[in-house]
Amino acid sequence: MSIEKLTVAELSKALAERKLSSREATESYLRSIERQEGDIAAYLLVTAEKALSQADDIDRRRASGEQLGALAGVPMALKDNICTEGIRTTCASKMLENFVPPYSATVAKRLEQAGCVLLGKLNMDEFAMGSTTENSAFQKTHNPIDITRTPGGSSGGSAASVAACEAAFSLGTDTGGSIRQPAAFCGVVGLKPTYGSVSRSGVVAFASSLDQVGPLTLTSLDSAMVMSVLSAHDPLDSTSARREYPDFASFAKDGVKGMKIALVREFFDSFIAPENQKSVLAAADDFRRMGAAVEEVSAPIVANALPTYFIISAAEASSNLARFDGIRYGHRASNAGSIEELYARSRGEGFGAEVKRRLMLGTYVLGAGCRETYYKQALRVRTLIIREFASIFEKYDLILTPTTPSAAHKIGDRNTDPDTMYLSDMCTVAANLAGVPALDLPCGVNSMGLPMGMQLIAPAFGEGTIYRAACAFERERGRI
Amino acid sequence: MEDENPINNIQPLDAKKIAETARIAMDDAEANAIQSDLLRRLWFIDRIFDIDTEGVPDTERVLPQSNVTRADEPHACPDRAKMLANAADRSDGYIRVPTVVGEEAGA
Repeated sequence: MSIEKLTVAELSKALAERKLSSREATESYLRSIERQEGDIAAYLLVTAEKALSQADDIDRRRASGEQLGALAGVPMALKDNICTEGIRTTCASKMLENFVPPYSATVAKRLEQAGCVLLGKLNMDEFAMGSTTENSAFQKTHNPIDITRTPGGSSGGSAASVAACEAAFSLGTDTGGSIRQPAAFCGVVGLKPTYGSVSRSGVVAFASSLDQVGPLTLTSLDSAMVMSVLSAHDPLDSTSARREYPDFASFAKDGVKGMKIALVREFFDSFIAPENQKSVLAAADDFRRMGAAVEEVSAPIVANALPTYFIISAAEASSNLARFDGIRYGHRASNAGSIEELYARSRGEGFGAEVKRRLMLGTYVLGAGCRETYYKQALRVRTLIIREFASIFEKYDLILTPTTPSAAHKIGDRNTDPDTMYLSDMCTVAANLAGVPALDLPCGVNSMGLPMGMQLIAPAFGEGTIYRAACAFERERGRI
Repeated sequence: MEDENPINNIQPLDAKKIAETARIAMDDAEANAIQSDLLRRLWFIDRIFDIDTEGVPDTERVLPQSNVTRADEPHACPDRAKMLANAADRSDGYIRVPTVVGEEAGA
C-alpha cells in the first residue's frame, strides 16, 4: 500500500518504529498533491518547503532518541480560516487575499507542538459561508469520489484532501455542519466537537456561539487521536471550557454493548433520500447486533432547527465581520474620499455575494423593529432545542441520524429554492445550537457509487461515547 | 403607536438601506438582486414563529461562562511592525486613513 493511503494510526506506528521517516511520508503526500490537484483543487496553498523542513526536524529528534507524541511526523493540512503565522490565510476571500497572520491559531500551535507537518492551507466557502465550496473566491474544489460533484462545504478542501489521500488528516470548522456535511459527501470521518472543548483563538470567526474546529480523518480512531491533541482549555479563548480531557483513543475498543441509541423519527421522512435512510437504518441494525438498544424517538424542534440557525448565524456574522473595514488588514478600496466611503467600498469590493447576503440578513434581523422578533424568537427556540436534546439524553447515550438528506450533488447544480438549498444542513445545525458533539462517519455507498454518512450525537463532552460506537461500527463493517 | 405584538412591527426589508447600515457599497442592480433573495430567505425563516416560545428564556451561549478575564499580570505585547504589516497604508508606525474630520467642520 502506498504511504499516503495509511491511516494516522498506521502512519504513527510506522514512524515510531522507524519503518518510515517523516520526510518519506511528507514527500509521498506532496507527490499525491502534485499528481491530483489539477483535478481536485483542495489546496489554496501548498507549503512544501516548510513541510519538508518540519519533517526533517522530527526525523532528527526521533533519531536522537527524543520521546515524541503519537502525531509526530504526520503530514496534515488546515482549512484556510485557521491563522498560521507567516503563512497566508485567506478565508477563500478577496478581502483577505494578501493577509499574512502575525500569530498562529492555538489549534495550529498545538499540532505544531505535537510534531505534525503542515502541508498547506485548504479551500473553503468564503468565510465558511456555504455548503459546496463553490463560494470560494479563488477556485472550486472537486469531490475525489466523482470529480463532477461538489465535496460539500464549507470545509470542502479539508474533506477532499483527506478523501484523496493528499493529507493524513485535516482540520475544518463547523458552524452548522461545515465539517460533517463535506465529510459525508467525501466518505470520510468528521467531528464537530463539544462547544468550548477546542480553542477558537486565531480561527477567523463566523458565528462565535456556534463555531468549532474539528478533525477530518479516514477513520474514527484517527479522529480520536487528533482530538486528544486538540482538546484543552485555552486562556486565549474566553469560551474555552475549563476541564481536563481523556485520551480519546482509549475509548476505541470499548464497544457498544449495553449502550442505548435513539433514532430521531423526524429524520426518516420524505425529504431524506430513501437510500440514505436505508443505510442509516442498516447501521442501526448493526448496532443492535453488537449489543446496543436502538429505539425510535421524536424530536420535532431539533429536526426543524434551520430557521433558528439562519437567524443566529447571520446575526453573529454581521457583528463579527464588521472588523473587515479596510483599515488594519484586508482589502482596502483605492481613492476613497472619506473614511465612511473607504469602509463601504472596501467591504463592497472585498466580500463575495453569499457573504454580503448573510451579513445583510444579520444586519436586518438585529435592526430596529426586528431584534425583538426574529433574534429573540431564535434565542428562545435555541433553549427549546437544548431542552429537547437533554430530554433524549436522560434515557439515551447517543442519537443516530443521517448526516445529509442526500449524497453529493453536481457542481453548479445548486438549487436556488431556499427550501431545497438550505436543507443540506438540516440534520446538522441542531448540534451547533445546543453545543453538543456530533460525528459523521461513512455508513454506505448509494447506487451511483457515492458515499453516504450517518451522524452520532452525544451530550456535551461525550466524544468518548461517540468514539466507542464509531470505532465499533468500523470494526464491524471495515472501512467503507 | 406600536402594536403590542412585535411581529406586526417588523420593518419592511429594504436591501439598499440595509447595505448602508452594514457598510457595504453596492449599486442598485446588486441591491435589487439581493432584495429578492433576502425576501425568499425571510419567507423560509418565518416558520420559526410557528413554535410556541411563551415563557421560554433566551440562550445566547451554551457554556455557563461569562466575563472571563485573564490574570492581571504583565505580558509581552505583539511586535508592532508585524501587527502593522497587514495594513494597506501606513506611515511612521501609524495606519493612514482618509481625513476623518472634514475641512468644513474644522473651519
